[in-house]
Amino acid sequence: MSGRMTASNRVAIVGYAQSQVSRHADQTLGALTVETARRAIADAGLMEAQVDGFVTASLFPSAGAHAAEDGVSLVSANWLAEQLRINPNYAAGFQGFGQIPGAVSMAVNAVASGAADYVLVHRALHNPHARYHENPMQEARGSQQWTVPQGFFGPLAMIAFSYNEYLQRYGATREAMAAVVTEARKSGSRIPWSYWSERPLAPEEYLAAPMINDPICRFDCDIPVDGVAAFIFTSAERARDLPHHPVYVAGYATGAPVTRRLPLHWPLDDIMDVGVETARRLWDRSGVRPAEVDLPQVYDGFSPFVYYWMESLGLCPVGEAHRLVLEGGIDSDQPGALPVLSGGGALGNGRMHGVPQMLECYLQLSQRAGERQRSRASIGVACHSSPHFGGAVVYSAGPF
Amino acid sequence: MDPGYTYAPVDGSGVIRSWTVMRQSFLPGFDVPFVLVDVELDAQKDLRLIGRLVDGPDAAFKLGTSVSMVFEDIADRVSVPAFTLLAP
Repeated sequence: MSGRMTASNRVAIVGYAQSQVSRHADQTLGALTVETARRAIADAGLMEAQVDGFVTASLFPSAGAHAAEDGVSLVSANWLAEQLRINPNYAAGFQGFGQIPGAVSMAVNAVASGAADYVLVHRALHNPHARYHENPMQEARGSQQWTVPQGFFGPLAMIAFSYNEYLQRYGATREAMAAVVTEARKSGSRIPWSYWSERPLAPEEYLAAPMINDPICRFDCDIPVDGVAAFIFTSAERARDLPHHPVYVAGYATGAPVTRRLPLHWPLDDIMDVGVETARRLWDRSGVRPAEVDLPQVYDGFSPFVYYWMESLGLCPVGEAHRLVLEGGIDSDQPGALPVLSGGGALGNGRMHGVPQMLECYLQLSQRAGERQRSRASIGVACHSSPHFGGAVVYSAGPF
Repeated sequence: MDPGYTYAPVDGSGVIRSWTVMRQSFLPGFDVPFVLVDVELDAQKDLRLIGRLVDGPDAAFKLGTSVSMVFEDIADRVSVPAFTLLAP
């Protein structure tokens, strides 16, 4: 089946809540999630008992050897429903990459199918004490025996390979990436709940940072945080009776099929070949053309993803994103520029996975962005993870 | 359906498709810095393997530079495949 999906624009976001994003919250992740969920339900103008669906993607995205415990380092849909004393009609977790588009797709499907009337989607991210990715493993089994004894481990090395390939192939510079990271931090500095609130980054600071896994420095990585966001989804019909302007889901797509590789091996061509296909499916299923998007929000958990998503989505030709950003092409304060990081992304908010992208689409398209409100925001795209493993959602300010 | 995979020897020669210098390791037991190369083996298009470049961080190379495979003996009966630059 191809063409616009049947559920396009039939399901909408009607409310949200975002917790403060901090290095270590002063309450447990579970408590923070319950509080944030209650705020989202109230924001949507609903009673708690009306919420009958719960969806999340609960992955604790650390390569380290930390214990993953429900309610402490992650929060599952069922755990949250239980704490709210709700016996839901639908509760589920998305297991793949691109956790936010994956969870949104499940919420949309649940509402469109009638499995649930009001679905709460949450994402709870935790920063454990001790080093985030450090792993004391002494043995490697399975396919890791081809990478771990070589010292190839951790997501920084993973992204370093594709980014270096990009730099070498297209002659990109670190000055261009400085423009990406400072744009994310500039946007994040204007957001009150951001970890980086009121703390922009100067290009000189970026360029002076030492390499960790060349060409990746610490400013190319989002900072691990404690933080929770929650969104309420319901049908377009029910949304009409609720207080806020609904933001409709026009369509979604996730990446695949991917070439089978060694663990963490993401060559640039794999990312881009599948990314272009992800985008083709996204436009096809949502009935939107790239030129109609005035609020693209690309994923930036590692800064090179900004280039990969811009090019996959067709916002610029392949190999030219680095030139565009160097010319001010993503400066969200410039009319005519592509505001791909106007919501600050993960680099400008902290490791909230795809939440900042989704939240910026919701806030701008519902006209709830306050002082940051953009004059032109009608079609948004929220991306998450890599274009080949992750996914994206198209949001619309009005049904079409 | 059985994809019919079989083991086949390869000579380990290939070209560098990318690299990184590991200046920090998240695993114990690795002395930094060291170079990792992403090598496309000559034996089959798009067959890629990651290994240490034994020539070290100061060696001169670029995308497409030819390498051959060597083995690093790290313990009794433990040898890890790695790569070295082919003499120009």
